[in-house]
Amino acid sequence: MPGTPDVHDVPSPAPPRGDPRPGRWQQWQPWVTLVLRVGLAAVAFAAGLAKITDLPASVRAVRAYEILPEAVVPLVGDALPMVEILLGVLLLLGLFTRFAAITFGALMVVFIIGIASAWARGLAIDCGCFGGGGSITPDQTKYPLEILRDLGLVAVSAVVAWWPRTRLSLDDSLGLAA
Amino acid sequence: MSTPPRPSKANRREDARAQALRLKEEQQRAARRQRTFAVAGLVAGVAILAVVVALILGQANSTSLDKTAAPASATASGGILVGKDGIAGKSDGAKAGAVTVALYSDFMCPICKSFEQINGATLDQLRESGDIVMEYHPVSILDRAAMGTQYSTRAANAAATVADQAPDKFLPFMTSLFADQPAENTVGLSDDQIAQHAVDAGVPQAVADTFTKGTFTSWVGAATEQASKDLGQLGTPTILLNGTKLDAKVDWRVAGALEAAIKAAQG
Repeated sequence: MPGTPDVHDVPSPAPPRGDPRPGRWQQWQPWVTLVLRVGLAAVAFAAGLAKITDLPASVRAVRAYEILPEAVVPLVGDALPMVEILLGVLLLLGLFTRFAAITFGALMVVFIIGIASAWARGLAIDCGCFGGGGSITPDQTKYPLEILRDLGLVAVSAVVAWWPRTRLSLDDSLGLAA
Repeated sequence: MSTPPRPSKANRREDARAQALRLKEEQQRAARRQRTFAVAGLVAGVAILAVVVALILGQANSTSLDKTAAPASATASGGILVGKDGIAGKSDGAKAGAVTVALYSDFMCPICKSFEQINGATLDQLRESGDIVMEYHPVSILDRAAMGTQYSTRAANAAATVADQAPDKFLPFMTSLFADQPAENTVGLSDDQIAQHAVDAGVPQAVADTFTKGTFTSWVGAATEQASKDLGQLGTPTILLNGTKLDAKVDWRVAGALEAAIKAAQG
């Protein structure tokens, strides 16, 4: 029957997924994500390095939130900086970009909850996000700023996780599954 | 019943080509999956190793306070008691009902210096009259503000060494260190400068020479960790009156405010 597609036909290339309008966004997206990914990597590195050079301070910063039981406080304080550095490495290399972005974003959500909880309980602490942490005077607290910054990082992570394909990434050059 | 049309030669060729293409794509997908798993395994392995190393490093510098070599006069919570005579570790002779004033400070903390300058003389007087017993907690929370030289720890180790070896010079040495406090985010005083302050305060040269051995470095770390556990949030200066945090409403910058709070604690 003329007009009906022949099942043996070689399938024509499927329309690209995601944005139905091909063109400028698809052309730019790998570059946009590249910039965002490297930006996230820089933040993760800065946070991790600042903490790992003073692990006792990292433990004290975790303890100051008064959320986790004392048994796990040292574990989290000691491991967190390394986790941040590792996420920074993945994001910088563009290796498992989507996984790294989702994990980083989830970490930020956890931090936001922690900061908001400290704020709600009337604690006067520094978030310890980039080293330091612990008790400060009430007029030195910057909870809204700290939460806004982390919300911004969540947004950027979401963009990278949604469009993880980037230029200059190991995902690409190793041909890994997304 | 109609028989399906016999496929033409061209059709068969096309058929075979499509099948080959599908097979190839499938193989590529499988290879991609395999590669992804292999790399993921490698990355996960490296990550686990790195985190374990971090945990080991963290555990290494968190010996508990009771397992470190403490200055002779130190309390179980990492403090140095000073009573009437102004000698580290000697707290006798105070009046009945004397208030124990615990002071957590870091030698690099500017507000601790202010506290010392504003309230040091008053606290000395109250201590000499037997109204209070001082409990000094030299902690090291500002090591990161010394460009890698760990000034807070070095200074606190020196203070602990003096408390241990020249207990009557403990107070003048601390006063001297605060008076010459380096700015934050500088390398801090050198080991030689710290030793010179000690000698100037009357500490024997032989004792000052041992500062660089770091005899009480791990005690300082453990005492700081203990302070963090005891206080929840360790900031400096922190003042406890008979174990209770000084009310946040008491502004110790105002003359007489701290003394009034101490009198109130005396009951």
